[in-house]
Amino acid sequence: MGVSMEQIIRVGIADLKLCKTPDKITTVGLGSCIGIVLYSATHDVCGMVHIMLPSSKEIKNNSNRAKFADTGIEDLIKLLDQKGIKKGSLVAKIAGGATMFVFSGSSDLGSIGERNIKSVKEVLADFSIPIVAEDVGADYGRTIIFDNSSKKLTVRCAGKADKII
Amino acid sequence: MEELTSMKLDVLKELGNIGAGNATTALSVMLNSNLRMEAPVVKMLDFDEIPEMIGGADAIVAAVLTRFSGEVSGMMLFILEMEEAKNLAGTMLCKTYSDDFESFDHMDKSALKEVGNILMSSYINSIGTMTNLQFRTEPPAICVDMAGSVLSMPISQLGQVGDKALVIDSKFLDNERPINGFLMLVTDEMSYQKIFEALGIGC
Repeated sequence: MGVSMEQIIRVGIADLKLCKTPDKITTVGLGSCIGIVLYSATHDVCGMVHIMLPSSKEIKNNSNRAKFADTGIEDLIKLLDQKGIKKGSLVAKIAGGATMFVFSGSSDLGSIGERNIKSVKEVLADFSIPIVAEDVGADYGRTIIFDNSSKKLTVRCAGKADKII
Repeated sequence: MEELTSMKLDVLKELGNIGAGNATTALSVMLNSNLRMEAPVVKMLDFDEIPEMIGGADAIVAAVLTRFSGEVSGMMLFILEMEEAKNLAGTMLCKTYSDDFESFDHMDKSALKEVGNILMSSYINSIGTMTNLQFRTEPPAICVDMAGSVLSMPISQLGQVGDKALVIDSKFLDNERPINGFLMLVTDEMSYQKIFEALGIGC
């Protein structure tokens, strides 16, 4: 036989999961949220976290750690470490952080999407994990699918051609 | 918030009833059609369950979002499946659309935004009238995209205080045909508390 059925692992909102080659890992309908893929060039296990908010420190109700950029990324690094993948070998691909609704004459101090982008970049820099590809910002939603065997991230948007980063 | 008594749920249902009732009347007049409303359903949902109400996270939807602030603050959304959005805008503008995502243009969005504005203003105003609380609505914004992406804005707002959303789901019927869309009220715990107090229900 020898034919393995590859699966697509789905990461929900404020959720994180690991994925082993040949499976793929996806999260559907990122808006202001950000999907962060962490992987190593030499390992067959990778992980994805779908964060919603920039920082757990600004908020009292922070028991769901995957909801925030800081704790979500930290937990994903820990999970990968348990699989024997050291932090120093990790790189990141990120997508999301859109501003979905644009209000006329709005005086918001940066949209939630923009604040998420800033925070994710800061957290990854603090862990010394380089961002090797990104598709962030703008005003449209994104579905992302990561293939750990090719290390390619497919970004799918409504009414647009797929982008591979 | 997670432990709302059945009495409070009933109050929210009634708020939804009156709010959506007024909204339906406003929309019927505007479209010159016979719109009705189903009894609203009040649900406490996990974030992942919200996009499922409208076809799943990757279904294309049109959503109009209005924010309100004052003694109570929050936002309200009017969300429609793309097909319904085209029906509604098409009725207003006397046109038909292709399946193409791009065929729903700026003018169509503007028309739908106005429908949402009228619906939600009459809904929110009826809450104001019942509770005597002071707040004002901001001009709405519209977004046409995947349900998951569109809903990320209200969900991240809710995510700051909890892990669940209270959804007042008001469905409409157009000449007995159900319109696949709903109204969603997003507000925080403190605002709900003020609404309950204003209506004479202690905590």
